[in-house]
Amino acid sequence: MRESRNAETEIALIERAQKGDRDAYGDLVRCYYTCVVSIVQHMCGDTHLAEDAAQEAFLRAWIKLPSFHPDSSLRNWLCRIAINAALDVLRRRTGNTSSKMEMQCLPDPSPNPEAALIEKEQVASLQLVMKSLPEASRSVLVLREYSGLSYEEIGAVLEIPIGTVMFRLNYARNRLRGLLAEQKVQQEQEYA
Amino acid sequence: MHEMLHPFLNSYLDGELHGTRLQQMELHLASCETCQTELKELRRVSELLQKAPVAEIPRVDRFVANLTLILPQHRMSDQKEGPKLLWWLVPMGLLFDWFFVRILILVRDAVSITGTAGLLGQAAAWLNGSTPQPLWIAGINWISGGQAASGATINLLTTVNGFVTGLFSGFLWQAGIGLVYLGWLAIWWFKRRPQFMNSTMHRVRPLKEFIRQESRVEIEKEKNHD
Repeated sequence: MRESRNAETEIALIERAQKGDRDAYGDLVRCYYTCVVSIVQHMCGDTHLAEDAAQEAFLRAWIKLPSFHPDSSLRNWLCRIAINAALDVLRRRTGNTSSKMEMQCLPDPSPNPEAALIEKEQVASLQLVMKSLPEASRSVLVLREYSGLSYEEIGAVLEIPIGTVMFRLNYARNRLRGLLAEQKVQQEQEYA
Repeated sequence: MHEMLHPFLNSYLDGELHGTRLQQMELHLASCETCQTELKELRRVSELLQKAPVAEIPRVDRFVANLTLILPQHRMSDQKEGPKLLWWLVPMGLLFDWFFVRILILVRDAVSITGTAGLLGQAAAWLNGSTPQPLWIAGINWISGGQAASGATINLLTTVNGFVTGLFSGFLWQAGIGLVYLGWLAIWWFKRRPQFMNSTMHRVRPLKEFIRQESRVEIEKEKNHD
Protein backbone atom coordinates (compact mmCIF):
# COMPACT_ATOMS: atom_id res chain seq x y z
CA MET A 1 0.00 0.00 0.00
CA ARG A 2 2.75 2.38 1.06
CA GLU A 3 4.88 1.35 -1.94
CA SER A 4 2.05 2.03 -4.35
CA ARG A 5 1.51 5.44 -2.75
CA ASN A 6 5.21 6.17 -3.14
CA ALA A 7 5.00 5.10 -6.76
CA GLU A 8 2.05 7.43 -7.28
CA THR A 9 3.97 10.27 -5.67
CA GLU A 10 6.94 9.51 -7.89
CA ILE A 11 4.80 9.49 -11.03
CA ALA A 12 3.29 12.82 -9.98
CA LEU A 13 6.78 14.24 -9.40
CA ILE A 14 7.95 12.95 -12.78
CA GLU A 15 4.98 14.49 -14.54
CA ARG A 16 5.54 17.82 -12.81
CA ALA A 17 9.26 17.72 -13.61
CA GLN A 18 8.47 16.87 -17.24
CA LYS A 19 6.50 20.11 -17.41
CA GLY A 20 9.56 21.98 -16.19
CA ASP A 21 8.99 22.05 -12.41
CA ARG A 22 12.51 22.30 -10.97
CA ASP A 23 11.40 21.72 -7.39
CA ALA A 24 9.78 18.43 -8.37
CA TYR A 25 12.95 17.43 -10.17
CA GLY A 26 14.96 18.38 -7.08
CA ASP A 27 12.83 15.97 -5.03
CA LEU A 28 13.49 13.21 -7.57
CA VAL A 29 17.22 13.95 -7.43
CA ARG A 30 17.12 13.64 -3.62
CA CYS A 31 15.47 10.21 -3.95
CA TYR A 32 18.06 8.80 -6.35
CA TYR A 33 21.11 10.79 -5.37
CA THR A 34 22.81 8.03 -3.36
CA CYS A 35 22.17 5.42 -6.04
CA VAL A 36 23.57 7.57 -8.86
CA VAL A 37 26.55 8.82 -6.85
CA SER A 38 27.43 5.27 -5.81
CA ILE A 39 27.46 4.14 -9.45
CA VAL A 40 29.55 7.02 -10.76
CA GLN A 41 32.00 6.79 -7.86
CA HIS A 42 32.70 3.14 -8.42
CA MET A 43 32.79 3.55 -12.17
CA CYS A 44 35.17 6.52 -12.10
CA GLY A 45 37.28 5.65 -9.06
CA ASP A 46 37.97 9.34 -8.57
CA THR A 47 36.08 11.76 -6.35
CA HIS A 48 36.27 14.80 -8.61
CA LEU A 49 35.42 12.87 -11.74
CA ALA A 50 32.56 11.22 -9.88
CA GLU A 51 31.16 14.61 -8.89
CA ASP A 52 31.32 15.78 -12.50
CA ALA A 53 29.73 12.57 -13.70
CA ALA A 54 26.91 12.81 -11.12
CA GLN A 55 26.15 16.36 -12.15
CA GLU A 56 26.26 15.44 -15.81
CA ALA A 57 24.01 12.43 -15.21
CA PHE A 58 21.31 14.49 -13.50
CA LEU A 59 21.64 17.22 -16.10
CA ARG A 60 21.19 14.72 -18.92
CA ALA A 61 18.27 13.14 -17.10
CA TRP A 62 16.60 16.55 -16.85
CA ILE A 63 17.11 17.23 -20.56
CA LYS A 64 15.80 13.81 -21.56
CA LEU A 65 13.01 13.76 -18.99
CA PRO A 66 10.26 14.95 -21.39
CA SER A 67 10.78 11.77 -23.41
CA PHE A 68 10.74 9.50 -20.33
CA HIS A 69 7.66 7.31 -19.96
CA PRO A 70 6.43 7.48 -16.33
CA ASP A 71 5.35 3.81 -16.39
CA SER A 72 8.93 2.59 -16.83
CA SER A 73 11.44 2.39 -13.98
CA LEU A 74 13.03 5.74 -13.18
CA ARG A 75 15.78 4.05 -11.18
CA ASN A 76 16.82 1.84 -14.10
CA TRP A 77 16.67 4.80 -16.44
CA LEU A 78 18.82 6.91 -14.13
CA CYS A 79 21.27 4.02 -13.64
CA ARG A 80 21.76 3.82 -17.40
CA ILE A 81 22.32 7.56 -17.66
CA ALA A 82 24.74 7.45 -14.70
CA ILE A 83 26.78 4.64 -16.29
CA ASN A 84 26.97 6.48 -19.61
CA ALA A 85 27.84 9.78 -17.94
CA ALA A 86 30.61 8.14 -15.92
CA LEU A 87 32.04 6.46 -19.02
CA ASP A 88 31.93 9.72 -20.97
CA VAL A 89 33.63 11.63 -18.16
CA LEU A 90 36.33 8.94 -18.00
CA ARG A 91 36.85 9.08 -21.76
CA ARG A 92 37.14 12.86 -21.69
CA ARG A 93 39.88 12.69 -19.07
CA THR A 94 42.98 13.13 -21.19
CA GLY A 95 46.04 11.75 -19.52
CA ASN A 96 45.19 13.26 -16.17
CA THR A 97 46.12 10.26 -14.08
CA SER A 98 47.36 12.25 -11.12
CA SER A 99 43.97 12.65 -9.48
CA LYS A 100 43.68 9.66 -7.23
CA MET A 101 40.76 8.50 -5.21
CA GLU A 102 40.52 10.53 -2.05
CA MET A 103 38.49 8.01 -0.20
CA GLN A 104 37.61 7.98 3.43
CA CYS A 105 37.89 4.47 4.72
CA LEU A 106 35.12 3.18 6.84
CA PRO A 107 36.08 2.47 10.45
CA ASP A 108 37.48 -1.05 10.52
CA PRO A 109 35.72 -3.31 12.98
CA SER A 110 38.47 -5.94 12.82
CA PRO A 111 40.39 -6.31 16.11
CA ASN A 112 43.45 -7.72 14.31
CA PRO A 113 45.52 -4.84 12.82
CA GLU A 114 47.59 -7.16 10.58
CA ALA A 115 44.51 -8.76 9.09
CA ALA A 116 42.99 -5.33 8.67
CA LEU A 117 46.07 -4.15 6.78
CA ILE A 118 46.02 -7.16 4.47
CA GLU A 119 42.35 -6.64 3.82
CA LYS A 120 42.94 -2.99 3.07
CA GLU A 121 45.63 -3.91 0.56
CA GLN A 122 43.33 -6.45 -1.02
CA VAL A 123 40.55 -3.91 -1.35
CA ALA A 124 42.95 -1.38 -2.90
CA SER A 125 44.22 -3.99 -5.38
CA LEU A 126 40.69 -5.04 -6.25
CA GLN A 127 39.80 -1.45 -6.98
CA LEU A 128 42.81 -1.08 -9.23
CA VAL A 129 41.89 -4.22 -11.14
CA MET A 130 38.31 -3.04 -11.29
CA LYS A 131 39.46 0.12 -13.02
CA SER A 132 41.33 -1.95 -15.57
CA LEU A 133 38.29 -4.09 -16.38
CA PRO A 134 36.58 -3.53 -19.74
CA GLU A 135 33.85 -0.91 -19.48
CA ALA A 136 31.13 -3.44 -20.26
CA SER A 137 32.15 -5.84 -17.46
CA ARG A 138 32.78 -3.03 -14.99
CA SER A 139 29.31 -1.60 -15.61
CA VAL A 140 27.68 -4.95 -14.89
CA LEU A 141 29.80 -5.48 -11.76
CA VAL A 142 29.04 -2.00 -10.38
CA LEU A 143 25.33 -2.37 -10.99
CA ARG A 144 25.33 -5.75 -9.27
CA GLU A 145 27.62 -5.04 -6.32
CA TYR A 146 26.83 -1.41 -5.51
CA SER A 147 23.32 -0.89 -6.80
CA GLY A 148 22.09 -4.38 -5.97
CA LEU A 149 20.21 -4.77 -9.26
CA SER A 150 19.01 -8.19 -10.33
CA TYR A 151 20.31 -9.72 -13.55
CA GLU A 152 17.05 -8.87 -15.25
CA GLU A 153 17.28 -5.25 -14.13
CA ILE A 154 20.92 -5.01 -15.23
CA GLY A 155 19.90 -6.41 -18.61
CA ALA A 156 17.14 -3.78 -18.83
CA VAL A 157 19.48 -0.96 -17.80
CA LEU A 158 22.24 -1.87 -20.23
CA GLU A 159 19.88 -3.22 -22.87
CA ILE A 160 21.63 -6.58 -23.08
CA PRO A 161 20.34 -10.15 -22.67
CA ILE A 162 20.60 -11.88 -19.27
CA GLY A 163 23.10 -14.36 -20.74
CA THR A 164 25.43 -11.48 -21.55
CA VAL A 165 24.98 -10.09 -18.02
CA MET A 166 26.04 -13.48 -16.60
CA PHE A 167 28.98 -13.74 -18.95
CA ARG A 168 30.31 -10.26 -18.14
CA LEU A 169 29.81 -10.76 -14.41
CA ASN A 170 31.63 -14.10 -14.53
CA TYR A 171 34.49 -12.49 -16.40
CA ALA A 172 34.79 -9.55 -13.98
CA ARG A 173 34.60 -11.65 -10.81
CA ASN A 174 37.00 -14.24 -12.15
CA ARG A 175 39.54 -11.51 -12.92
CA LEU A 176 39.22 -10.21 -9.36
CA ARG A 177 39.32 -13.72 -7.92
CA GLY A 178 42.47 -14.42 -9.92
CA LEU A 179 44.08 -11.33 -8.44
CA LEU A 180 43.24 -12.39 -4.91
CA ALA A 181 44.72 -15.84 -5.57
CA GLU A 182 47.94 -14.23 -6.89
CA GLN A 183 48.20 -12.01 -3.83
CA LYS A 184 47.70 -14.99 -1.55
CA VAL A 185 50.55 -16.84 -3.26
CA GLN A 186 52.81 -13.78 -2.98
CA GLN A 187 52.05 -13.39 0.72
CA GLU A 188 52.76 -17.05 1.34
CA GLN A 189 56.09 -16.71 -0.47
CA GLU A 190 56.98 -13.64 1.59
CA TYR A 191 56.26 -15.40 4.88
CA ALA A 192 58.06 -18.60 3.80
CA MET B 1 27.83 -32.10 -14.34
CA HIS B 2 30.67 -29.89 -13.12
CA GLU B 3 31.18 -28.39 -16.60
CA MET B 4 27.47 -27.75 -16.93
CA LEU B 5 26.95 -26.06 -13.57
CA HIS B 6 30.26 -24.25 -13.15
CA PRO B 7 29.21 -21.16 -15.21
CA PHE B 8 26.23 -20.73 -12.88
CA LEU B 9 28.27 -20.28 -9.68
CA ASN B 10 27.92 -16.51 -9.80
CA SER B 11 24.20 -16.79 -10.43
CA TYR B 12 23.94 -19.08 -7.40
CA LEU B 13 25.93 -16.61 -5.31
CA ASP B 14 23.62 -13.78 -6.37
CA GLY B 15 20.49 -15.79 -5.65
CA GLU B 16 19.53 -15.80 -9.32
CA LEU B 17 19.13 -19.56 -9.68
CA HIS B 18 15.68 -21.06 -9.34
CA GLY B 19 13.87 -24.36 -9.71
CA THR B 20 15.60 -27.46 -10.98
CA ARG B 21 18.90 -25.73 -11.69
CA LEU B 22 19.09 -24.49 -8.10
CA GLN B 23 18.51 -28.00 -6.79
CA GLN B 24 21.12 -29.39 -9.16
CA MET B 25 23.62 -26.76 -8.03
CA GLU B 26 23.04 -27.47 -4.34
CA LEU B 27 23.46 -31.21 -4.91
CA HIS B 28 26.62 -30.59 -6.93
CA LEU B 29 28.11 -28.22 -4.35
CA ALA B 30 27.62 -30.80 -1.63
CA SER B 31 29.98 -33.14 -3.47
CA CYS B 32 32.36 -30.89 -5.51
CA GLU B 33 35.22 -29.40 -3.53
CA THR B 34 36.51 -27.32 -6.46
CA CYS B 35 33.20 -25.54 -6.81
CA GLN B 36 32.96 -25.08 -3.04
CA THR B 37 36.38 -23.37 -2.99
CA GLU B 38 35.53 -21.25 -6.00
CA LEU B 39 32.23 -20.19 -4.47
CA LYS B 40 34.04 -19.25 -1.27
CA GLU B 41 36.52 -17.13 -3.25
CA LEU B 42 33.76 -15.44 -5.24
CA ARG B 43 31.95 -14.66 -2.01
CA ARG B 44 35.16 -13.19 -0.62
CA VAL B 45 35.53 -10.97 -3.72
CA SER B 46 32.01 -9.74 -3.25
CA GLU B 47 32.59 -9.02 0.45
CA LEU B 48 35.80 -7.11 -0.26
CA LEU B 49 34.07 -5.05 -2.93
CA GLN B 50 31.42 -4.10 -0.39
CA LYS B 51 34.20 -2.95 1.93
CA ALA B 52 35.61 -0.61 -0.69
CA PRO B 53 36.19 2.84 0.79
CA VAL B 54 33.48 5.38 0.24
CA ALA B 55 34.42 8.88 -0.82
CA GLU B 56 32.93 11.83 0.95
CA ILE B 57 30.13 12.92 -1.33
CA PRO B 58 28.68 16.43 -1.48
CA ARG B 59 25.58 16.91 0.63
CA VAL B 60 22.44 16.30 -1.35
CA ASP B 61 20.92 19.72 -0.56
CA ARG B 62 24.02 21.53 -1.77
CA PHE B 63 24.17 19.31 -4.86
CA VAL B 64 20.50 19.95 -5.69
CA ALA B 65 20.94 23.71 -5.16
CA ASN B 66 23.91 23.81 -7.53
CA LEU B 67 22.18 21.58 -10.05
CA THR B 68 19.04 23.72 -10.09
CA LEU B 69 21.14 26.73 -11.03
CA ILE B 70 22.52 25.09 -14.16
CA LEU B 71 19.42 23.24 -15.30
CA PRO B 72 18.49 24.44 -18.77
CA GLN B 73 14.95 24.78 -20.03
CA HIS B 74 13.46 21.60 -21.38
CA ARG B 75 13.66 20.94 -25.12
CA MET B 76 17.35 21.72 -25.18
CA SER B 77 17.82 18.53 -27.12
CA ASP B 78 15.58 19.90 -29.87
CA GLN B 79 18.17 22.53 -30.59
CA LYS B 80 20.43 19.76 -31.77
CA GLU B 81 17.58 17.97 -33.52
CA GLY B 82 16.73 20.99 -35.69
CA PRO B 83 19.94 21.18 -37.72
CA LYS B 84 20.12 17.38 -37.69
CA LEU B 85 16.68 17.20 -39.29
CA LEU B 86 17.66 19.82 -41.84
CA TRP B 87 20.56 17.63 -42.94
CA TRP B 88 18.00 14.97 -43.78
CA LEU B 89 15.36 17.32 -45.02
CA VAL B 90 17.37 19.00 -47.77
CA PRO B 91 18.51 15.83 -49.61
CA MET B 92 15.13 14.22 -49.02
CA GLY B 93 13.45 17.30 -50.48
CA LEU B 94 15.67 17.20 -53.56
CA LEU B 95 15.02 13.51 -53.96
CA PHE B 96 11.31 14.12 -53.62
CA ASP B 97 11.49 16.84 -56.30
CA TRP B 98 13.33 14.53 -58.65
CA PHE B 99 10.72 11.79 -58.14
CA PHE B 100 8.01 14.33 -58.65
CA VAL B 101 9.40 15.54 -61.97
CA ARG B 102 9.83 11.95 -63.17
CA ILE B 103 6.28 11.06 -62.21
CA LEU B 104 4.99 14.24 -63.85
CA ILE B 105 6.71 13.41 -67.13
CA LEU B 106 5.30 9.88 -66.97
CA VAL B 107 1.79 11.21 -66.33
CA ARG B 108 2.09 13.69 -69.22
CA ASP B 109 3.28 10.94 -71.53
CA ALA B 110 0.41 8.74 -70.41
CA VAL B 111 -2.07 11.56 -70.98
CA SER B 112 -0.55 12.26 -74.37
CA ILE B 113 -0.73 8.61 -75.42
CA THR B 114 -4.28 8.32 -74.15
CA GLY B 115 -5.21 11.51 -75.98
CA THR B 116 -3.60 10.30 -79.20
CA ALA B 117 -5.61 7.13 -78.91
CA GLY B 118 -8.69 9.35 -78.74
CA LEU B 119 -9.79 8.12 -75.32
CA LEU B 120 -9.97 11.54 -73.68
CA GLY B 121 -11.78 13.44 -76.40
CA GLN B 122 -11.57 17.24 -76.01
CA ALA B 123 -9.99 16.94 -72.55
CA ALA B 124 -6.76 15.58 -74.07
CA ALA B 125 -6.42 18.55 -76.38
CA TRP B 126 -7.04 20.91 -73.48
CA LEU B 127 -4.49 19.13 -71.25
CA ASN B 128 -1.88 19.14 -74.00
CA GLY B 129 -2.49 22.81 -74.80
CA SER B 130 -3.46 22.13 -78.38
CA THR B 131 -7.14 23.12 -78.45
CA PRO B 132 -7.70 24.44 -81.97
CA GLN B 133 -10.16 27.19 -81.06
CA PRO B 134 -11.36 27.23 -77.50
CA LEU B 135 -14.59 28.72 -76.27
CA TRP B 136 -13.12 32.01 -75.04
CA ILE B 137 -11.88 32.90 -78.54
CA ALA B 138 -15.34 32.15 -79.85
CA GLY B 139 -16.71 34.34 -77.01
CA ILE B 140 -14.52 37.31 -77.97
CA ASN B 141 -15.48 36.83 -81.56
CA TRP B 142 -19.15 36.85 -80.62
CA ILE B 143 -18.80 39.96 -78.36
CA SER B 144 -16.98 41.91 -81.04
CA GLY B 145 -19.70 41.01 -83.45
CA GLY B 146 -17.39 39.05 -85.71
CA GLN B 147 -14.93 41.95 -86.15
CA ALA B 148 -12.15 40.09 -84.35
CA ALA B 149 -12.53 37.23 -86.71
CA SER B 150 -9.90 38.57 -89.08
CA GLY B 151 -7.03 36.19 -89.75
CA ALA B 152 -4.37 38.19 -87.85
CA THR B 153 -6.48 38.54 -84.70
CA ILE B 154 -7.45 34.89 -84.72
CA ASN B 155 -3.79 33.94 -85.13
CA LEU B 156 -2.78 36.19 -82.24
CA LEU B 157 -5.52 34.85 -80.00
CA THR B 158 -4.61 31.28 -80.91
CA THR B 159 -0.95 31.96 -80.08
CA VAL B 160 -1.89 33.50 -76.72
CA ASN B 161 -4.20 30.61 -76.04
CA GLY B 162 -1.49 28.09 -76.92
CA PHE B 163 0.96 29.86 -74.69
CA VAL B 164 -1.44 30.08 -71.73
CA THR B 165 -2.63 26.47 -71.93
CA GLY B 166 0.95 25.32 -72.48
CA LEU B 167 1.95 27.21 -69.40
CA PHE B 168 -0.93 25.66 -67.53
CA SER B 169 -0.27 22.08 -68.54
CA GLY B 170 3.53 22.28 -68.29
CA PHE B 171 3.98 24.40 -65.23
CA LEU B 172 0.85 24.61 -63.13
CA TRP B 173 0.98 21.01 -61.92
CA GLN B 174 4.56 21.35 -60.88
CA ALA B 175 3.95 24.70 -59.26
CA GLY B 176 0.88 23.33 -57.46
CA ILE B 177 2.69 20.37 -55.98
CA GLY B 178 5.73 22.52 -55.27
CA LEU B 179 3.49 24.86 -53.32
CA VAL B 180 2.02 21.94 -51.37
CA TYR B 181 5.57 20.86 -50.50
CA LEU B 182 6.62 24.35 -49.45
CA GLY B 183 3.40 24.69 -47.46
CA TRP B 184 4.19 21.49 -45.65
CA LEU B 185 7.69 22.82 -44.88
CA ALA B 186 6.21 26.08 -43.59
CA ILE B 187 3.77 24.23 -41.32
CA TRP B 188 6.61 22.04 -40.04
CA TRP B 189 8.70 25.11 -39.27
CA PHE B 190 5.88 27.01 -37.54
CA LYS B 191 5.06 23.97 -35.39
CA ARG B 192 8.65 23.63 -34.26
CA ARG B 193 9.43 27.32 -33.98
CA PRO B 194 8.35 27.63 -30.31
CA GLN B 195 10.75 24.80 -29.39
CA PHE B 196 13.64 26.51 -31.18
CA MET B 197 12.78 29.76 -29.42
CA ASN B 198 12.69 28.00 -26.03
CA SER B 199 15.99 26.30 -26.69
CA THR B 200 17.71 29.61 -27.28
CA MET B 201 16.17 31.09 -24.15
CA HIS B 202 17.56 28.47 -21.80
CA ARG B 203 20.97 30.14 -21.79
CA VAL B 204 19.59 33.33 -20.40
CA ARG B 205 17.25 31.98 -17.81
CA PRO B 206 19.67 30.39 -15.33
CA LEU B 207 21.63 33.61 -15.29
CA LYS B 208 18.48 35.58 -14.53
CA GLU B 209 17.57 33.11 -11.83
CA PHE B 210 21.05 33.33 -10.43
CA ILE B 211 20.90 37.14 -10.30
CA ARG B 212 17.44 36.99 -8.73
CA GLN B 213 18.66 34.54 -6.11
CA GLU B 214 21.74 36.59 -5.39
CA SER B 215 19.66 39.76 -4.95
CA ARG B 216 17.30 37.83 -2.64
CA VAL B 217 20.31 36.75 -0.54
CA GLU B 218 21.55 40.34 -0.41
CA ILE B 219 18.15 41.60 0.75
CA GLU B 220 18.02 38.96 3.45
CA LYS B 221 21.53 39.88 4.55
CA GLU B 222 20.56 43.51 4.81
CA LYS B 223 17.48 42.62 6.80
CA ASN B 224 19.53 40.55 9.21
CA HIS B 225 22.09 43.31 9.49
CA ASP B 226 19.37 45.84 10.35
